[in-house]
Amino acid sequence: MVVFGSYCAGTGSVTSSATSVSSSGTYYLAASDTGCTDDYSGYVTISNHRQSFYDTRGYEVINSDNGYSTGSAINLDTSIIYDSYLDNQIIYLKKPVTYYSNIIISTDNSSSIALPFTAEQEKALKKQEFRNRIRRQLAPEARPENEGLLRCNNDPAELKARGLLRELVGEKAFRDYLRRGFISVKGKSGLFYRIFGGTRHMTSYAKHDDGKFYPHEDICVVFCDRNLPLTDGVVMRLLLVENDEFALRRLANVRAMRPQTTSKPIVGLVA
Amino acid sequence: MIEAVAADPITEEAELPEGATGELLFKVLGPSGDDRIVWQKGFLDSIKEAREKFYELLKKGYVAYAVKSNGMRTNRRMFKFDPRVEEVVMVPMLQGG
Repeated sequence: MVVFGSYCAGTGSVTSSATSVSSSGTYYLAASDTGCTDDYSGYVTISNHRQSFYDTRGYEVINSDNGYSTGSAINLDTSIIYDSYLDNQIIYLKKPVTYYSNIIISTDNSSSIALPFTAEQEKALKKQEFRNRIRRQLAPEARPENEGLLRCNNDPAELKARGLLRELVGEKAFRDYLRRGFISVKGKSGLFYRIFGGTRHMTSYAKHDDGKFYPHEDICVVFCDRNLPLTDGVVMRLLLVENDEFALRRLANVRAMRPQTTSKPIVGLVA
Repeated sequence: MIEAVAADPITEEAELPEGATGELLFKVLGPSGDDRIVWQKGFLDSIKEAREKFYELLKKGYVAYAVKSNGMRTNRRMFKFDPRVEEVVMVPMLQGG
């Protein structure tokens, strides 16, 4: 009797065995052997035929083949009926092995490969699933600032727009943009601007007496044509901030943000 | 909205402006990213075409910004066509959000 992670043949002789885990998380159990089993009710037969069968949770177990197809849906928790010749076979378990830790591949025909979960195991499994569900619900929703960027990674227009931004701001700032989802630009007025893409508002930051920058205004300016790529919005706002802050304020909807406790006048924005 | 600037067309007798060599690149922001149009500065016809395109886009509400050929900004908004600049980024019409 061998627990999953090893291998044994149907009729007793094992010539080689190997286990591995693919990068996608699929578990492989590979072996070479010759042997034969025929229609054993209640046993698992490893075969060189293709078959897909499922356990009660719907997890798929696929056996590789050399062209034959004799598989059928089988409940791993109860009984498995299969007949085949053994030869260079691979079993793919598409779920973590913990679910199959009670799967046993027998060295002879008298043992079952899939033993049903015991009551304790079932209970523990349900408990763990419940815990996982609660944990998922309690976890704070993490929404990165570059969420919008990540969504359009495959858009050719967006990639083109990113190329233009890269030319304008340089490599380092561009990498920061990809990571953070915004760029920071200083205007001639001395205000710092945090510029996002798309239709998202930009924020200006004013320097206070304590030497730190605090949110000063919420500024929204967008293209009349809303079909432009997300990063083109960054390019537009960047050029506006650096070239013509007055035009930016004339075009945009500007909303003062609180607290506005700065005692310094914002030089350059006084007409 | 940006007001359109009246064009000052190059006449047939006009000469190539000084320093007008190489290429003039328009990067026009649009739904497909930025469309790039290249003009040869060494040819008067090409410069005329570029000038016409420039004012045509300005009339449509585009705003032009001069950029150096290495991509770095020059902090310069263009109200008039200048064939000596290396690159121009054309930004479509804007509105408050």
